[in-house]
Amino acid sequence: MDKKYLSLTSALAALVFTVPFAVAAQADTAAPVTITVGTWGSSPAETAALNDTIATFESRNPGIAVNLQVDTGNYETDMAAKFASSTPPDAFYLNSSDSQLWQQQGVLADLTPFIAASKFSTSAFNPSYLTPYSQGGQIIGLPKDSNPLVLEGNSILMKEAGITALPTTIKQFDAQAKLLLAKKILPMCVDADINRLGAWMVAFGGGISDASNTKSLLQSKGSVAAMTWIMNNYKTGVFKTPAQISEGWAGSAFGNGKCAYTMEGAWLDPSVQGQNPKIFKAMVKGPLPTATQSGSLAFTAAWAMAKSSTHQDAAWTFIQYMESARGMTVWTSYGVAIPSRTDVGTPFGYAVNSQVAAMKTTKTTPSFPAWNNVITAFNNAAKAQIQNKKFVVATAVKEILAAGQAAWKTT
Amino acid sequence: MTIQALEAHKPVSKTRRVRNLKEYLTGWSFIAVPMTLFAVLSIGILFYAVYISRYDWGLLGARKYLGWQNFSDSLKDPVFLRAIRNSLLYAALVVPLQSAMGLTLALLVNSKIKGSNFFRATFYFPSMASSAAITTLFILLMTPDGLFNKILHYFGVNISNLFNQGQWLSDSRTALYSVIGLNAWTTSGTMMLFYLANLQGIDGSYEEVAKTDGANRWQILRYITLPLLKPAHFFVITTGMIGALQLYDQAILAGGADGSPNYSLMTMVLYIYNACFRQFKFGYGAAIGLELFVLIFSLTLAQRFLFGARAWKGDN
Repeated sequence: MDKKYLSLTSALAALVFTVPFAVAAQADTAAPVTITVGTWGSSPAETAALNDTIATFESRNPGIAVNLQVDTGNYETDMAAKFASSTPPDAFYLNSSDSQLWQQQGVLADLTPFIAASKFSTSAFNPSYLTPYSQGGQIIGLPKDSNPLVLEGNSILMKEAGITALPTTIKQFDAQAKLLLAKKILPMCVDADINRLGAWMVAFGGGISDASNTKSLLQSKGSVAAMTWIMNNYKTGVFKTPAQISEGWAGSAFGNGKCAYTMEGAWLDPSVQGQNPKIFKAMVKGPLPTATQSGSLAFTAAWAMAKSSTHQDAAWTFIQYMESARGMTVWTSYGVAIPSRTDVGTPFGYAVNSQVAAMKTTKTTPSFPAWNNVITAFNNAAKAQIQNKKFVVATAVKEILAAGQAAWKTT
Repeated sequence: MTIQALEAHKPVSKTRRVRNLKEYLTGWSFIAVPMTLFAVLSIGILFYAVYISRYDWGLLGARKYLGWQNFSDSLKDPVFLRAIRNSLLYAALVVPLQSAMGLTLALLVNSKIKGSNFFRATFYFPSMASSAAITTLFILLMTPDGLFNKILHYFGVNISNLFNQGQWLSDSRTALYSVIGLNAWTTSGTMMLFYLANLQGIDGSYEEVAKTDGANRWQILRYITLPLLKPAHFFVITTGMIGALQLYDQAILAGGADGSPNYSLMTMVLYIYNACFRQFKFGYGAAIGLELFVLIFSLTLAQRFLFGARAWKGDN
């Protein structure tokens, strides 16, 4: 055989053998990694916002596909089952109240090395929103947003009682409550829940816990003063729980025009808009009235990563985008939540929420393993007192705070 | 030696022995799959629960050996003691109520009234409906503005003067009793079916003889029907008791996972749910589960003793 033909044949053979492998190798590197992302679904608006934010992430990261799993059932229970069966999502929502308990169980990845490796700066986050997710030198989550409690008023009902503006002090609130009651309008619908009443404790100079979550402030002077004012309001009919007026939650009572004021977060807006557009148009918002200071309670949730995830790098890329100024701008532009970063603009219609979120006196809800026990004990004690029409305010306050304090010590 | 005794000692032929073995193996092969599943998923799980209950068992498995500490800790927890009290009170009230209602309905639909088939279906309907759906409906009916209070108001009751201001499910003094009412109603249809099946098995000649002897309807019921229903009473009360002590869905729907208001709807099973899925104390939850098992098993044995072995076997 001619030497020329021999070398040509050899080259062709080499090509035939190597090309498929090269193509396959190329296909391997191009194949996107699919990560599973687990969230709870609080509303269709939130899911729509999440889908759009994920779409922007995928367009910027073609190598990562996101399989979003929105849990419309009991998120904590479902996640517990997934952790136990070693099938948790790669990245997921982490509620601040669960953070320490989940960390204790050893199911959360420490994000500190990823943050360091990618030089991701956490300085833009409001420090109080980082606290629930930082313990023992580890960062187990980054706050995806925040949601402080603000005062919402129904200007139609306020007008009926001759009120032109939201109260800014407790004194003004008390005076307005009398005007509203005179017109047989319920001034305030708020549940007897530590996650609501705690905001008044902050406004009265007390609070639920100190910044490190190690010391209870439930029996501090400010918290006792706040609870005395609150229980007095429940006794005189200025405050009513949603159950007392046949409602599932205070936001629904507000949307149905059953009360002049309520205290909820940004989640109230889409709810009232859907429930009663007329009341939504008449809704006015402001910070909670000041007692000794202007303060509130804020909720935060984070993006976290599973320790057992096999796609930790891709999951971190996802979390990094969601926590970046760009990702958070897209996510919060829908108005379902307020940015946890100080360098992200205020979503339209949520200026008051953002203002309250940025206040130094706005405290995040505590996060320590016994926190859920404190919630249960406090709320049960408060409801038990309120159901008794003849409760004595001082005794009720003492018993409710003692119940919360006792649960603080449980693990 | 009698003929029967001789027959018994007669040597069995080889063919017969093979046939017997075949039958024996066929029988065992039929039950092998369900028996294996039962052994693994029921009996095996029970032993596994005993194993877990002796550890501090978290989401990822055993963390620390505790011995019997989970058991002793549970008995010191006032919320657990409240859960036991609630579960026992619930069972003590709901079981007689659902049995009485089931028996009354069964007697009604067993009589020769017009449209008895329609009534049977109607009375059984609440038992077929989803527990979640029916509880949600019940919650709406029992709100302060709900239909129940409206009916009371129609009959002249001033709701705001009631001790609970018409908050049947959000007042700790009435929440459990409201759920008892709900469950007595929803389960009475199933109990009616059990009683009806037994009633239709009673020989009509007893009643005819009693009538001939001059017995009235009450006497027939008191001295003939009720005693002949003894196996049905045993079955209804035992299954009712087991179900009642496992109350969970209505409690969590009406009172949330905390058994609100003020733990009035905290039951043993809800407590287990809290221990396992809200606090991730699976060892502790397993210990409570075993305590519940012992409670139910003891009560069932007590009922067997009370009703006698004949009722246990379904013998009238």
